[in-house]
Amino acid sequence: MVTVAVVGVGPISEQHLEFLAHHNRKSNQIELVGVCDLVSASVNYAASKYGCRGFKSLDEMLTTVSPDVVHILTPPNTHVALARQCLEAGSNVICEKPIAPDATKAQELIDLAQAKGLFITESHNYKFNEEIVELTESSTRGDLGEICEVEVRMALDMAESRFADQNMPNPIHDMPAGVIHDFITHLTYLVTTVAPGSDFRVTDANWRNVSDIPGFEWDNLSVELFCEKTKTIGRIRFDARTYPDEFTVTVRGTEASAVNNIFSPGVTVTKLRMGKQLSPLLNGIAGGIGGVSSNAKDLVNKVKRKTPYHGLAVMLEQTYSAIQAGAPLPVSDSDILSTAKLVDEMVALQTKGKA
Amino acid sequence: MARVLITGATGFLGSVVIEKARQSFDVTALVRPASKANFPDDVNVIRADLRKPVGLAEQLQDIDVVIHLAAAKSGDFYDQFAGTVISTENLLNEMTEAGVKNLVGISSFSIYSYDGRKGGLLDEETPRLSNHSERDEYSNTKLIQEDLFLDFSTNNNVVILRPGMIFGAGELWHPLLGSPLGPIFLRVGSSATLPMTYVENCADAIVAAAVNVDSAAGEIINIVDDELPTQNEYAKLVAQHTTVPKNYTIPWGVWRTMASGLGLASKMVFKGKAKFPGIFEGPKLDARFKPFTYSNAKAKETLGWSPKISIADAIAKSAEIEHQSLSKSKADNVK
Repeated sequence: MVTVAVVGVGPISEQHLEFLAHHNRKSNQIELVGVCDLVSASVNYAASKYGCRGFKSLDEMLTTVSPDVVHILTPPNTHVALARQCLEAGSNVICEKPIAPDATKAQELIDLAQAKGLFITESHNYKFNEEIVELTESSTRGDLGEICEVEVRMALDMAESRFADQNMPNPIHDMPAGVIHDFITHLTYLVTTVAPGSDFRVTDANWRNVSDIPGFEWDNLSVELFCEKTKTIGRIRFDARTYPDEFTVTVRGTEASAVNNIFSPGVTVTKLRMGKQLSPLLNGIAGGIGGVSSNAKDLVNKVKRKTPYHGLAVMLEQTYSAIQAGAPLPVSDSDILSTAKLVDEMVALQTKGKA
Repeated sequence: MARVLITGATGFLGSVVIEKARQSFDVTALVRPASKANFPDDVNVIRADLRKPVGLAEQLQDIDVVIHLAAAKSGDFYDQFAGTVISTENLLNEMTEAGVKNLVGISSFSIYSYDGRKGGLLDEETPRLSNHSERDEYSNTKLIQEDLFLDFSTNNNVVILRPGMIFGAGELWHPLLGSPLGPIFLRVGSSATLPMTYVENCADAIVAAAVNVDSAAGEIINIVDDELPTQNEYAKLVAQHTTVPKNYTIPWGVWRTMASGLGLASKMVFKGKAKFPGIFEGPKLDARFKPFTYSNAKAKETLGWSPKISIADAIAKSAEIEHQSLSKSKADNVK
C-alpha cells in the first residue's frame, strides 16, 4: 500500500484526487491519507469529499501521516520550497509543472531527491493523451516519413481569465515567462515527444506584449527550435488573443502530416492516397469523415466527462505502477531537465522581442 | 446611528441595499480594489478582495453589523468556491478578530432539495440539498457558505436570509421561465408559481434583518413577495411593458419525462456518469421549474417586513428604468 497526500486543493487537484479515489476503489493499493491547503474551507471540502484527513500546515501533515508520495498542486512559484520540504521529510514528490522556474533549481531538487533515495517527477500529462500517443507512435514507426517539422500552438482567450484578475493578481506573473510559464512546459515537452530522436536547441524566440491585458508582461510567443542531427524544425506558438481556443500539435513529415487539437479528439492525417492526382479529393473525403467522427466522439466525450486532461490519469497510473514495480518512472529526470533547459534557452532571449 | 458594512455592494442587489441601508445606518461599502463604482458621499468605502486574507480587522472595529452579499455566480466550481466560500471564511475570520458579532448572511433558494411533492409547500423547514453532484456549482458553493454562517452563529448573532429569485431593471426576463435556444426562448411549463422577490422589496428585508439582528438571531428566513405569479402570468406582465424574445412553451410534464428518460439511459449506458446540459438533467430541472407553493409568513413575523411594491408595479417600474437607461445610453452615443 502506497500512502499519498496532496498539497494544494485548487482547480487541478480535482483531476489528481479523482484519480486517487478511483484507483483506491479499484485496486486498494493507494491510500489517500491527507490533503493540505492554507484555506480551511478548501481543506474541509476536499477532506470531506475524499474521505481523508485535512491539514492547514504541510509540516504538520508530513509529520502526522508521513506519506510515501506527496502531490504538489499549488501555484508554480511555490513548487521549489514545498518540494524541498517534502523531500527533506522523506516523501517522494509528484509535482505539477513546472517543478522549478529554471533548470538549475530543477536539477537541485532532483539531486536532493537522489541523495535521499527518493524521486521527484513532473506532470507531463498531455504526453499521455490518447491522440498524442497515436501521433508519437506514427512518428516513431515512420508513417509520416522523415519528420521535418513539429509545431505546437496554443491560443487561449485570456482577457477575462483568472490570470487577468486585477483584484487578485495571479502569482504566475512572478515566473520568468509570466503567464506563459503556466503552459510553456507542456508546449516544450510536446515538441520533443512527437519528434522522437530529435535533440532540439532553441534558435530563436520572440516574446511580445500585443494585447495590453493588464498584468501580462508577455502574451505572445513564437519560438523556433532545430535539431542538427535530424534536421527537424520545432515551432512553439502561444497567443492570448485569438479565437477560438486552440491547442494543436502538428507533425509534418516527408510523406504525410498529422494534427491533433488537444481540446477535441481525433488525429487528422493528410497523406498521399492513390497517386498525387487523386490525393486532394481522397484527403478531402477522409478529412470530412474524420471531422464527423471527431465531432461525434467529442460529443460522447463531453457526455462521458472525458476531458483533455485524460492523459493525467494515464500518467499517474503508469507512475504508481512503476513505483510498485521498482521500474523507471514514465516522466524521467532527463525528461524534466531537458524540457527545463529548453525553456531556459527561450527565456534567455526575452529582451529581444520586448521592444 | 449604528454602522453597517455591506459586501457585494456593487452588485444588482447590493447597490439597492446600499440605498435602503443609508436610511437606517452609517454605511460602509466593501468593494474590490479595481472597482470603478461610485457611491454617495456619506458612504465609506473599503477596497479589498475577500478571496484572500486582507487584514481588515482594524477597519471593522467600529462596525456593528455586517450584511454579506458578496458571492460568485459564474465561473467554474473553483472560481465560485473562491468568490463565495473562501471570501466568506475570510470575512468571518476578520469579523472574529475585530469582535464584530452581528451578521446578516445572504443564502439562496438554490440550497433547497426540490425532491418534495409537486405543488407542495417549500419553506424554511424544507430539507436542504443532500446529493451535491446532482446540482450546479452555485448551489453547492452557496450550501457550503451557509454552513459557514451556521458555524459562526454558535457564538454570534446571525440571521440567514434565503431570497427567492430576485428581479428588477435589467433582470426581468428570468431563467425560471426557461432557456434561450438559438434565436428563440424555450419556456418550460406555464403554471408553476414563481418564488420572485423584487429587488427593492428584497433589499428592504435585508435591511430589516440588520436592524433586528438581535431579536432575529439564529433564524433562517425565506424572502419572497406577496401574490406570487405563475410563469404565464409573469411572462404576460413583462410582455406588457417591454420586448420579450419569441418564446415557445413545452409542458412541464413532457419535458420532465424526457429528462427522466435521459437520466435512465445515462444510468444504463454511462453508469450514471454522463453529464448533460442542466436543462436535460432532472434534479436541476426540478430546482428551476417544478411547481411548489411558497410562504413569506416567517419573514413578516420575524422581521416586521412586508413587500411594499406589488409584482405588477415592480415589473412596470423596472421596465420604465430599463427604458430610461436605454434612452440615456442612445443620447450619450449621439453626443
